[in-house]
Formats: sequence, structure tokens, C-alpha cells
Amino acid sequence: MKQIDDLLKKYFKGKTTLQEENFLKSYFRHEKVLPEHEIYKSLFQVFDEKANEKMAEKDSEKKVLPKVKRFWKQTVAISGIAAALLVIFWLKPIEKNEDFVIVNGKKIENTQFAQNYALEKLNNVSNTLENNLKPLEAITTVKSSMEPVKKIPQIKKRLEKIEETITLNN
Amino acid sequence: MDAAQFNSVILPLTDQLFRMAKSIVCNDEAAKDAVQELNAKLWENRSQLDKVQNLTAFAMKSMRNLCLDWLRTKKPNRDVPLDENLIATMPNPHQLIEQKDMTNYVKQLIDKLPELQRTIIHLRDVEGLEISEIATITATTENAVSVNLSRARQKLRKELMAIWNEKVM
Repeated sequence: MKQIDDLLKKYFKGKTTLQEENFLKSYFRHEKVLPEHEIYKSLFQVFDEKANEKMAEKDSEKKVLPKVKRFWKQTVAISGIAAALLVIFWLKPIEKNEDFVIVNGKKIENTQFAQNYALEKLNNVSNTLENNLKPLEAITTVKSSMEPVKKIPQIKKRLEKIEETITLNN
Repeated sequence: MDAAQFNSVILPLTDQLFRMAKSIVCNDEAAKDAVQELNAKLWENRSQLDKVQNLTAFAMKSMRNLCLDWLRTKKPNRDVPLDENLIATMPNPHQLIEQKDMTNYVKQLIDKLPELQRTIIHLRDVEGLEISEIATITATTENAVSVNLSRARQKLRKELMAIWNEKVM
């Protein structure tokens, strides 16, 4: 143990190397040291403690302590909100709006939005129908224009009768 | 220095910088603020960090300067000579029976050292740096570091022996 005594003398004079200091640190990490060295044990223990200190740990330690207080604060706040909501519901029952539309798979409860959306879609349908029915209108016009043509056989028959009559008279 | 280099070189120094800051300002919150402030400053000036040879020493030196500024503005008369200061706060020997009390007392003894001695003790005994590195960080000579290291350790020993003798008696 004379080695430790010599190292300690050197250490307190600031003459030890890093290697010698590490040797001293590992000696003082042991549970039991010689009684005459007990006095320095806490000093090296503090160096070890400080060397393992981390900024993140300090954060987590700080977070743990207020957690208990925060729990009660949150509990009180949530209870207060719940009580306030109960009073409001009790005084004025909610008129639940059960009207909704599904737009692109989404439930829309905004009435104004739903109405506008429906109107827009109906206009689209109307425009589409209008555009698609235009050829049909043309067909109707052609059909009505063709009406006189339908009378051609009748005219033909009448002309034949007239011809017969003329022939007989001659 | 780009973001990836900054994250791999500067951010891993966070704990070391925090310990360094704490050893100077003796306050967890102030030390954390100082680390964040330094990180922000280093990030702003990251383009110039490529020119720095020893980034760890540079960061530690910057940290010390930042903390010294903090001490000057917040606590101008913080450094009080050890002997005068301890008389008032010295615990009763009977209170130091438990090892935990002793370690707390040692921490107080270290905190009461003058700033330069406290920093040198921290860099040597906690961070395990070479005398030359400590000289660079503290902007002093190697001889000054050795002298201050020796004085600081002897003060701690003297205080420990005093409290130990009272405890034993």
C-alpha cells in the first residue's frame, strides 16, 4: 500500500500522470480501502459521479419531479372542463344535427357546404343532359320536316285515281 | 461543415460541454442554457469550423468563455476565497457520518474553489485531459495549469483532513 501513499503524495502535488491517476481512481472505486485512505474516498467518488453526468439525464430527472404536480394539475383541469360541459348540456340540450352527406368517402355535416355541393353537382348533371340532348332536338326537327314526305304515298294514290278518272272519261 | 458533420462532431460533445459549463456556473439550468447557446453559435458559424484543428478543445474553450461571460453578468462576485466562505457553511462533523453527506460536502468544496482552479480540477480529474489540452482550453501556460492544479488539490486535501479529524475526534 506504500504505492498508493506515494501516488497520493504525488497526486496532491499535481505531479501524477493520467495513468497513475486512473490507477488511484480504480483503487478508490473498491468497496473497502485502507482506513487511512478512507478520507480521500469521497473525493474520487465525486470525480466518478461528475464524469458520468449527462445533460439528458438532468432533463429526465427534472421531468420526473413535476410529473406528480402536473398529474394533479391536469386532473383538476380536466375535472373542471368536464363539470362545465355537464352544466352546459344540462342547461341547453344539444340539438344534434344528424344530417350529413358522404362526399368522396368523407362524412360532411356542414349543411351549407352540402347544399352548395349538391347544387353544383345538379348543375353539372343539367349541363351534361342539355349537351347530350342537343342531337335529339335535331332528330325531332328532321322528323317534323319529314312529315310531308309521309304524305307522298297518299298523294301518289290520289294522282293514280285522278289518272283513272281521266282515262275513263276519255 | 454541413449538418451531418455538425451532428456527428459537435453534438456528441454535449454532455462534456454540459459538465464543463456546470463546473463553472454551478447551476444545472444555466449550464444547459449555455450549452444550447454555444451549439446555436457554433451552428451559425459552422462554415468556419472546418478551419479549426482541435474541435473539442475549441468547443471547450468557447464554453468556458461563454460561462465566464455569464458569471460576469449574472453573478459578478461569485468567487469567494475558500476558507472565508466555508466557515459559514461548514457542516457539523456529526452530520458527515454518512458517505453521501461526505460526497455532497466534497462537491461543495470543489464549487467553492476559484474559477480557474475549479475548471482545471474538472478538466483533469473529471474529464481526464492532458495538461497541454487544459492549457489550451484555459488559455494559460502548462506551468500555470500544474501550479493551479496542485493548489486546488491541496486545498481540498486540507479541508478534507480538517473535517475528518473533527469527525474522528
